[in-house]
Amino acid sequence: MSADKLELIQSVEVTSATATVTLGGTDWVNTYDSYKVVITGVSIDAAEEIHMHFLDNTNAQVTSNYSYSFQRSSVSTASTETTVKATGANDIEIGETGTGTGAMFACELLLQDFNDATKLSSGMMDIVFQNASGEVSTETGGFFNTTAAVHKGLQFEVETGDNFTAGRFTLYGIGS
Amino acid sequence: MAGKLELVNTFTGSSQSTLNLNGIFTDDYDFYHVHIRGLQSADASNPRPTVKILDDSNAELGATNYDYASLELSDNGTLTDNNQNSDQSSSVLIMVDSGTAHNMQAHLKVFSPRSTTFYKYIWAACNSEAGYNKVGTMVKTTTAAGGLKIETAGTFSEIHAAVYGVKHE
Repeated sequence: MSADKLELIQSVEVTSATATVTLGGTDWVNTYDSYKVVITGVSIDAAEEIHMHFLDNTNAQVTSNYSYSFQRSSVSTASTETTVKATGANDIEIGETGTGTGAMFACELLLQDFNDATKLSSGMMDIVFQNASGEVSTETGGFFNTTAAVHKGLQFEVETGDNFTAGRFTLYGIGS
Repeated sequence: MAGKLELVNTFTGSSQSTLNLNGIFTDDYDFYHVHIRGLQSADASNPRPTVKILDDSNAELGATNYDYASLELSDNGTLTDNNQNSDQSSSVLIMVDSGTAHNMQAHLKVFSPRSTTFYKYIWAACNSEAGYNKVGTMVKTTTAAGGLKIETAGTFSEIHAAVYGVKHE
């Protein structure tokens, strides 16, 4: 059996309150066509949405160039299926987590064409979390940047300036 | 550079209603892929195979711990918003046609199953001749999980599972 081609690039563990988490930047390795990001065990000091930006080099691109769409399913008698979508957004909404017992946010992302200046950097996401109402929610969808450019990673932040208090964020390259 | 996707174990069975994946979760990983495939002769009144989590003694972790939200895309064109079943005894996969054995597949992504702080969270995509289902499961226990149990009210004429851990260091 040949060696598998999922290669670790960077792993960041949050152990104290921090407003942002960055994967890539100076740690970015540009030799892969595809990348996987695994995020698990994320908690926040207030029930809030988690947002994501691409990195141009080492800086988060806060521009109106993000488009995304995903289907969110939640356990609720009031709200069940929701299509969350945006074009020309300043960031990519990827979910949330509450502060209830056992609450966390977890996801797996697949990134494509981040190293090709002629293509749109894009990705897909599979996500599960406990929402602000203490219910389980799950999402599946995709996102991209509407301007073709090289991107060198991702930055995650909590809406309205709250902080991540725990979690592991890991970036892998998928070898060819 | 060493790869980080590692085979933990494989399981197989035939002519049975359950398949236990005992002892698959360890502190070596905090994220797992579980690939399940099989043929099921469904119980017509209960056609969805289910998933439960097991503790380190291979006992089921609570009968009322499972909340799940699923969106089922049936082959007859209907969308079933199967989100109302909170506090169940298990989570669901995908409806399987009744009658003779029919194909079913599932891909589970299991996050932090060994955590004693967080509940257990599973994202799943499931497929059968009856349709596709996306399921998010929250298992409301902070007991560390040791394994999984795949179960049907009918019979698996064959059932296979492969478990992979993803290392983060």
